[in-house]
Amino acid sequence: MYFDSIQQLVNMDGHGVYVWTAFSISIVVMMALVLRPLWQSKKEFNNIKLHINLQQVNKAALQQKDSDAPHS
Amino acid sequence: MNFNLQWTWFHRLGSPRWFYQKTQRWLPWLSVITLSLLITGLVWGLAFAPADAKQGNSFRIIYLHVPASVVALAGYYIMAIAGAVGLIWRIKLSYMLMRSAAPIGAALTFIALVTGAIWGKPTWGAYWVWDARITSMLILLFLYLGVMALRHTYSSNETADKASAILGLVGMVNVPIIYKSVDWWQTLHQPATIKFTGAPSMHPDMFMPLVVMIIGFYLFYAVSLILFTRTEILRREYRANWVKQLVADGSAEK
Amino acid sequence: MHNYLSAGFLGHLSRDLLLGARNKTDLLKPLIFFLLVSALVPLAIAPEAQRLAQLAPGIIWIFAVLATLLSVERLFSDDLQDGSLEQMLISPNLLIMPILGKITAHWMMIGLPLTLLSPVIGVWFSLPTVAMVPMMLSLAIGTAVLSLIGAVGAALTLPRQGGVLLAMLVMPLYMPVLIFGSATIQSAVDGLDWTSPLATLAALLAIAIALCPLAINASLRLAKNG
Repeated sequence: MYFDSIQQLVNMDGHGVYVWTAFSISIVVMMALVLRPLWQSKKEFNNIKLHINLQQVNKAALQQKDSDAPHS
Repeated sequence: MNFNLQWTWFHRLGSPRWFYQKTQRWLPWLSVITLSLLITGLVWGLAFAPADAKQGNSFRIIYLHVPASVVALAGYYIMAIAGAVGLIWRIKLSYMLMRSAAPIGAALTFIALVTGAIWGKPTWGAYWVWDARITSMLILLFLYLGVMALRHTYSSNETADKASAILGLVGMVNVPIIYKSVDWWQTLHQPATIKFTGAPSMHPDMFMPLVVMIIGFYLFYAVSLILFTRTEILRREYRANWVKQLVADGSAEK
Repeated sequence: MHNYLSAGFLGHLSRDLLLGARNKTDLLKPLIFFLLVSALVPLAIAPEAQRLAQLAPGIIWIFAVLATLLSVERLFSDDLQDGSLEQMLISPNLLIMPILGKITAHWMMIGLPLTLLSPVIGVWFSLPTVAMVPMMLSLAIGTAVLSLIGAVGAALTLPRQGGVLLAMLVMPLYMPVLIFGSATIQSAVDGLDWTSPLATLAALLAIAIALCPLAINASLRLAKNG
């Protein structure tokens, strides 16, 4: 390693503040670029599941109504 | 006979379903490779590469700043070309890729600007210096934000896509003009151009991790683009049978 | 001389000029804005001739950009509202000539008066006399480019207007024009060769005339479906 100790790696002769701040901000943004679409996909998945369930409930309700129809 | 096969291949490429299924298989591998490259590049560049003679250790920001800038600029072209393909061949998937490319490019441009500003402080004593590189990056950010903002002007996805594609193309023509103009404006006001790096004149020990990071960032872009596009596919194709099947299978597994 | 191409161009040019003449107050607004904001500068910064002269090339150009931005928003909206845009779009041909006619009319009503008014601002900012003609030339050519690019933005934002989006889209595209426009004036002030940035402005104009109508044509057809 270029540095003699972890402490030196963090400090970087006083430039550590700059390097590690830049590093942190970049990592946070990059993680967001991966986590956000994953989270959005999950939300869409759940929305579609809800949509399918609603459709099935409606279909079942209609079938029920049809089987009760002979009254008319 | 040959002609038919060619068109099948071409149209299959444009099928959102094909994209979703293919990426389902390959995304994990791509992610692993991307992560390895990024970690390797960062550890190498931050801890092992030698420090710069003039700038000291703060030059290590280059391992984030330059890859982000390179991919941010390339990303604009990817977005514009995806839009053009959508306009010319009316391929929905292409429009979805264009949509996804915008926020990713904007975020990378943001990283480039912020890391550039942080780098500027120890190097030139100021957080913001209106040099050609930073100014062009700022304009690129505005171009990205414009494409993202235009989406809400149109109510239907179809027209919104076309409008964004047109704007993307207009921007694409302008990017070289803007870069050249800012460059020229800089030489007018600052005869001694400050260069961030003279890549060929860099020591190979400093240059190699940079190459690793640039490739890593390109792959990262691909991973993020795939993730965003998959979401967009779900969002737009929710009525399709294959999507319903997918969700049904997904919930059955639980 | 009267073939389809020139008929479309001249037809829309004269129509828009006529409409503009009927609404003279609408035309005066951007010009008065230009004068007003220019008058703000000495109040906000300093009335010293030297400082104003230093700022002049850039400030004049920034205000020209702002004035054009204000005026360009309305370029297509009136036609959209009264149905004449739909009439234009019925034509199966590319609307290059009608679009160029409209934009030329816009420039004649906004950019050209701005150019003619600029010596007043030049005098207000103690701009050296040697820079007056270069300033006017840069504005004449530059505002034409601004009108063309602004029209692209106006066409894209037609379904939902409300200034900020138009400004957001168009500002990055305006920056090269701003750079070379103010550089022309500054070079003249410094006694350097000002024809070089002016020639670049002219090249930008050539590119804009060639490409902008295509983008506007495509955007207008979208706005109908919007």
